[in-house]
Formats: sequence, C-alpha cells, structure tokens
Amino acid sequence: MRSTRRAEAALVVALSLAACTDPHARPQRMGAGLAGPRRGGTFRFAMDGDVGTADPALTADVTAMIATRMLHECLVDYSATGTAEVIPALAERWEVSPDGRTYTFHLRPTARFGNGRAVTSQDFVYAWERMLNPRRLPSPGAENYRLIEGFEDFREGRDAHLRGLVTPDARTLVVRLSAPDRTFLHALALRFAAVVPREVVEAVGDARFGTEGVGAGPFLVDEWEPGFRIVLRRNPYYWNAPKPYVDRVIFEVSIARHLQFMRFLAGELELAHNYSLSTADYLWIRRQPAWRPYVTTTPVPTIGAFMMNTEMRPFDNVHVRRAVAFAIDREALCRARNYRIQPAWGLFPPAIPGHRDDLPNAQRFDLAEARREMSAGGYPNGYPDEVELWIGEGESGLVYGQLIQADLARIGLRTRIKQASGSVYYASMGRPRTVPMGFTGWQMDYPDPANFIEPSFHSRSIQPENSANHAFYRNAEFDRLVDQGRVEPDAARRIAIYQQAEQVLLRDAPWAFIYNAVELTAVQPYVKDWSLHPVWNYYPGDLWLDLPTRAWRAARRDLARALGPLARLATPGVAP
Amino acid sequence: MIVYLARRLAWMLVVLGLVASVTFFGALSLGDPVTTLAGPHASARDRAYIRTYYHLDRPRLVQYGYYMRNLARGDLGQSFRYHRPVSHLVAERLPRTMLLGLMTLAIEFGVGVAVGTLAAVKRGTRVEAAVLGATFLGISLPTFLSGKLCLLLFAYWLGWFPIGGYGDGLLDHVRHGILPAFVLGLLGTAYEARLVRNELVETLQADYVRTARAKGVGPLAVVVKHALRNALLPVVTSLGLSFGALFSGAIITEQIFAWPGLGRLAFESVAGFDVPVIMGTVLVASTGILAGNLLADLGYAALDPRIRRS
Repeated sequence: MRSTRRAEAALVVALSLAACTDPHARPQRMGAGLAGPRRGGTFRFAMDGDVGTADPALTADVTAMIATRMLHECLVDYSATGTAEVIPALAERWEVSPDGRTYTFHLRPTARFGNGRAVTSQDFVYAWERMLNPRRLPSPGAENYRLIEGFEDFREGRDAHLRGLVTPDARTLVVRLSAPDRTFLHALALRFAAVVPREVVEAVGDARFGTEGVGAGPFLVDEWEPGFRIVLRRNPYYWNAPKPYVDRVIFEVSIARHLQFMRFLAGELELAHNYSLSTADYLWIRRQPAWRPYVTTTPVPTIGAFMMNTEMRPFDNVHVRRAVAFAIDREALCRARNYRIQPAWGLFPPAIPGHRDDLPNAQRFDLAEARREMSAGGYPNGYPDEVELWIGEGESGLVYGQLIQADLARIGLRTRIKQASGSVYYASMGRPRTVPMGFTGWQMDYPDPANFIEPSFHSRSIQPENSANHAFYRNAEFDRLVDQGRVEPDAARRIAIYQQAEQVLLRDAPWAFIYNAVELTAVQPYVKDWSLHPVWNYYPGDLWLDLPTRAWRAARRDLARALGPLARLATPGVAP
Repeated sequence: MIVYLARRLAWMLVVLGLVASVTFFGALSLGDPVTTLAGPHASARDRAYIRTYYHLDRPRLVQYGYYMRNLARGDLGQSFRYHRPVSHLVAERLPRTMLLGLMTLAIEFGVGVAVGTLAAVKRGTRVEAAVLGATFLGISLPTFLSGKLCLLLFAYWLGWFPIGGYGDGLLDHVRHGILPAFVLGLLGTAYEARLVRNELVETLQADYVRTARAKGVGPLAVVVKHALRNALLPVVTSLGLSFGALFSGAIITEQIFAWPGLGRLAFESVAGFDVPVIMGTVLVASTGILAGNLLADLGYAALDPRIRRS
C-alpha cells in the first residue's frame, strides 16, 4: 500500500513539474545571423477557416483573400507600411484626366503571368468582363466597378463588352468612368480586379480556375489539397523581382486555433497571429521573455461600435443616443478583453487618412453628461421600458454586452440581452425596425475614409433587406458631404470634408464608437522583415528567412570542432 | 436472405429520402446563404445577382423539387463556397474519414476485446478494478476534453505524435491518425471492454466451458476458442452501431486534430451555410450509419447459425 502511495506522489510531482516547465517557452530555432534579404526557405502559416476558392472574382472572406493576394496581381497595390497608400503594381504609371473620368494605365514591360506569358491590356479587359458578367460568375464585388462606362448595359446583357474599357495597344489600358470617383484606384487594388490568364481559365474552366492558381502574383500553386493545405512556390516571372524571397509557402487551412499555436511553439509554423491565439495564449506569449523580441502588436484599421437604430424608440431621440455614447466605459471594455482592443472615440481608426488624435467633439466616457442628455431627451428618471440589446455569437460579444448593459443601467436605460448566431444577427440588423441596439463595426475593404463612412451611414445604404446602414441613419447634410468627398480631386480638401462628416456623426451619434482592434503577431526568430500588412494581413511576399545555408552549416561545424563544447555557448538555441 | 436484404435496402432508400427532405428544409431555415456567399460588404444588387445565379430566388418548394430530382440522378449539387460539385468534395474527404474510422474500429475492437478479456479472466483482482475504472473514465470523458488533453500530453509535451494534421503518404497518414483514432475510439473501446468482460464472465461459467475444462483444454484455449467466440456476438452488433457514432464523433475529433475528413467538411459547411455540402455530408453519413446497421445484422447472422436459419 505504501509503495502505491509513493508512486502516486511521484506521479503528481512529475506532472506538476512538467506543467511548470513548458518545453516551448523559448523558440526552437534562432536565426543564423546572415546578411539579407536572401532567397530560399519555406514559410508556413495557418488559418482556422478553409479557402473555398482563390478565384479573384469570387473571394470575399479573410482566409480566401490571403490566398488570393499571394496568387494574383492588380494594376495597383498598397504599400506595406504606415498609412496604406496606393502604389504601382502591374501598371508602372497612370494618368487621370482633369475631369477625373478617364484613367490611362501603362503596364510594365516586366509584367508576366506565372506561365511566362506577358500580361497585356486585353487580359485586364478579359478578367474584368469575366468578373462582371453575372451569368458567368456570381462575383460579390462587382458593384465596386459600377462607375465604369457601360456597366449597367454589360451587366444586364445588352452589350457584349464593357464600353468604358479601351486598349489602344497591348501595354495601355484606358478606363472611362460615367462620373468622377476618387476611390476608383482603391477599387482597382481590390483582388476582384486582378488580371487572369485567359488561356488557363479557358483550358480548365471557371470552376477549376479557383484552385489552379496561375496568376501574375508572387506565388503559384504547387499543390492544392482541399481542406488541408495549399502549397505555393515562388513565381519566377514575378514583376517585382527579386521578391518574393521565400521559395515555398505552405498555407495550412482549417487548423483549429489551439493547434496553430501549439505548432507555432513547436517550430512547425513560422507565424502565429490573432486567429491562432486564444486570450490565454495571447497573455502567455506576451509574458515570455524569450519570445518578446519576436512579438509585435499593431493596431488594425477596424472600428467596433455600438449601433442605435434611429427609427426605433428610444433611439429616434438624438439625446438618448448621445447619452449612450457618453455612458459606455470603453476603458473597462478594453481591460475585459485584455487589451486586445484599444478605445476609440471617433470613426476613423489610426492608419486611415482622416484619423485625428485630437478629435474635436470626440465621444467620451462622462456619466454626468450622459445623465444630462437623458434629461434633455425627456427621461430624467430613465427610460420606462426595457430595450433589447443584441449581441452576436461568441464569448467576447457576451462580455461586451454585459458590461454595456451595466453601463446603461446607470443612466436609467434597462436592457435585455439577446444573443443570435452570426447570420441571423446580420440579417436582422439589416432589416428595418428589427434591432433597436447592438454591436456593429466595420472591417475595411480599402484604406480610405469613404469606405468607412459611406456604406454604414449614407442614406443610400438603407435597404428593405440587408441594409448596410444598420442604424437606418439619414441626414441630408451628411449625405451631401459624403457625396462631395467622393469626387473632390484635392486630397487635403477631401480629407477635410470627411472629417467634417465625422463631426456630424459625432453630434448625431447613430453609433457609439467603442474600439479599434489590436493584432498580435509572433514570428520565429529567423523570419526577417515581417510586418502585418495593413490591407492583406498575412502576406509573405516581402519577408525573408535567415536560415542556415550549407556553407554556414559547414563553417559552424568547423568552429564546433575547433572550440569543442564552447561552441554551444557561441551560438545558443540554434538547432543542429 | 435475398428477400430480407432487398427489403432492408428499400427501407434504406425511404429513410434516406426522409433525411434529405428534413435536412433540406432544416439547412435552408438556418439563415440566408447569400449573406455568407457575398460577404458582409456586398451591395444589394450583387446579392440579388448571386441569389439568381444559385436559384435561391425560387420558392422553397421549387428548390426542393430541383434538389430531389437531381438527387435521384445521383447529383448532389454544386457547393456555394467551393464552386465545385459536392460529390467531388465528398469523394476527396470520405477516404480520409474512412481511414480514421477503420483505425478507430481496429482500436475499439482490438483494445476493447483484449482489455475486456483480461478483466474477465482476472476477475476480483486489482487488474479488473483498474480496467473498470479506466473504462468508466473513457465512457464519461467528452471527446472535446479528452482530445485536447491527449493532444497536449502526447503530442505537444511528450512529442510522441504529430500535433494534428494529416501528413504525406499512407504511413504518415496512419501515424497522424493514431491519436485522433484513439480519442474517437475512447468511448467505444471502453464500452466494448465492459461488454466483453460482462459477457465473458457469464460465458466462463457456462456448462460447455466447464466440460471443455474437464476434457483438459488449456486455460488460454478455453477462453479464446470456446468462451470468447460466443461472448463476441453482442460486440459485433455494438461495433456496427458504433459506426454511426463514429461519424458524429468525427465532426468534433477531426476539428480538434485538423484531420481533413468528412466531419470537418460538415462542420465548415454548417458554419458557412453551404447548403449543398451540408446536404451531401448528412446524406453520406446517414448512408454510412444505415450500412453499418445492416452490416451488423449480417455479421450477427454469420456468427450465430440460429439467426441465419431464422
């Protein structure tokens, strides 16, 4: 009996010791310390979702977008750092006519598809007509191109070709718009507008093209194993040589979050990101001294907010809306989410042109002011009825919901939390007079203030079903400013117009702006020049791997022979 | 026998038709697939075009008619999300889930019978108590917990197995499949072990076993040749029935271990409102369950001559 007890005790001690000494508290492998950037190596990362298709005409979700960006190229792109600017890609330069309605793009002589053929202006016409033909492909992004001349006639099948596209020669593409639009270049940077090789599409058919992976992007598909992984190889014909530096990318899909993080720590993935980290993992890796140099946190251009339906009581009363905006303690919400978010007081997140740190009339947490607004709205003793507070599925939604419920109770607004699945939630939010208040927000399509302000607040976005304007907010003055911003040619004046529109929103408070998301990424020590792309998120086209080369390994062996056991101290952490 | 088989197969078709109908209306009532197809930012007009493209603008009953007609022709439809035929998606995933299922059944049967026999033979000793305790744990631990615990302990900490995934080549697939198969089969193994133990304890007291012993048959031969064969009858039935549990268990296990099989396809299709794929996976799983039941009955007949004759 005693020996059994002793064995039990030993087992408990062993297990506790094992629990205390995580074998992966430090990176498995360090960089070789070589000068770079240099070519070679395999970059592996994973997402929890699957990529249905990487056909640029069809991709609308985050995971598929990551794959599509690696495979396909557009006329223009976004710079990788700072405020994402539109930069040349397959077009080396372009001109805009003084009336803002004609864009002339000049293609690079080095623009080639992965099969080696030169990209021509006719390829763009083919790709765009393919994407915009609703009888051929159900593209969710077509409406971004509604200003191209002849759009309606082509979509409805009255014209065989898009009138607004002209190709004077193989390297020049002229796009004529029916009205000027200063966001048009952004629409061209979206992957919907990527060029596709006609001969490949026609050889494999539209359905298979999505996994065929031949485009003009930095990588080509080597192997596509559905629901498992996509293996990509470097496109030798990529216009932006010597990029990409890595020879192969293994994009593992449908990998649950807990597995991603374990595999990252075990050295089987090069990148861990927001979709790999549970809150516990997030806190853990930030505390590990050995990992700290390889962890970065970046604010991402998203806005999280609390929507109030301006057509429903009591939010048809602007004072009640303002009271709510004053009553929410953003700091408490950020604390509850372990600072995976940061407080926001206006619409435009950092890194979006128009964002101001010294925002005038910014929303703030001020209970006294909130109570004054409730009184001004006619409810000095609180609103008599209970109001439904909608939240989406997931744990964080419930946390936010409960905190806000408590905040609102303090100004006499009693709420009942209603949790709904994602699709039911969004369908209900888009229906008039259905959701009185609930969480909403915006994840940008492109980094321009127009993209933040127009879909969510313009009265044009109000629809009987799937209304993107969840607050059903209407304000003629606001609409006028937004329409003006879309066509204003002067960049500085344009930003000023949007800031003015933001002021109207702060005054009318259809949304209480709550937070901007913060993304944590961790990379293995040998991943160099990595940064979270402001638009494409996880994009391995710019990074390089500081991995030991054959010559480096030989030199290290020689050194080891010369130094004996001291060699281990000289290069700690490098796996043999 | 042939009449019996034909009748069973006809019933299978009726049940599958009912399953298809219920799933069809159930899946479409989950929400609007266009929301997922178009992404949150698509315009109303793009949504309308997408709705027309997939015939989602037709009345439900008309859609149902189309679906059943195509189903009768063996066409499972086209995935909304993958833009490919559902039959192709299922064909890619099914062999992977079958491999996992076979490994699980092998573990359930092999380990279950061995451990159950051990417990029956060592009746009244600590070995039996340990087996019963372990099987109790196996029956009560939910897969999402046992799966993550096994992953953490055997793959992440001890490094004996890969941390999820599927690997390259058959041998590597098997290596990657051991841990998920063990977890998926935990409940079945525990159940089989208890079943075998109980049956064997009874059988070992039967007259013919005593006779065999009296004739001087060795202890091993008594258990294996005489007693076990009879004790295995209920095990075969329960293995056939556990086929169904395998499919439902695979949804969670494949998710935990990133095993790219049918279970994960089903999980993702529900999350992504991919109605044709939801339908396809449910139908394939139902066929599997029905086939498992049929096989169990046939296996029973093969093992027990009395059933065969009746």
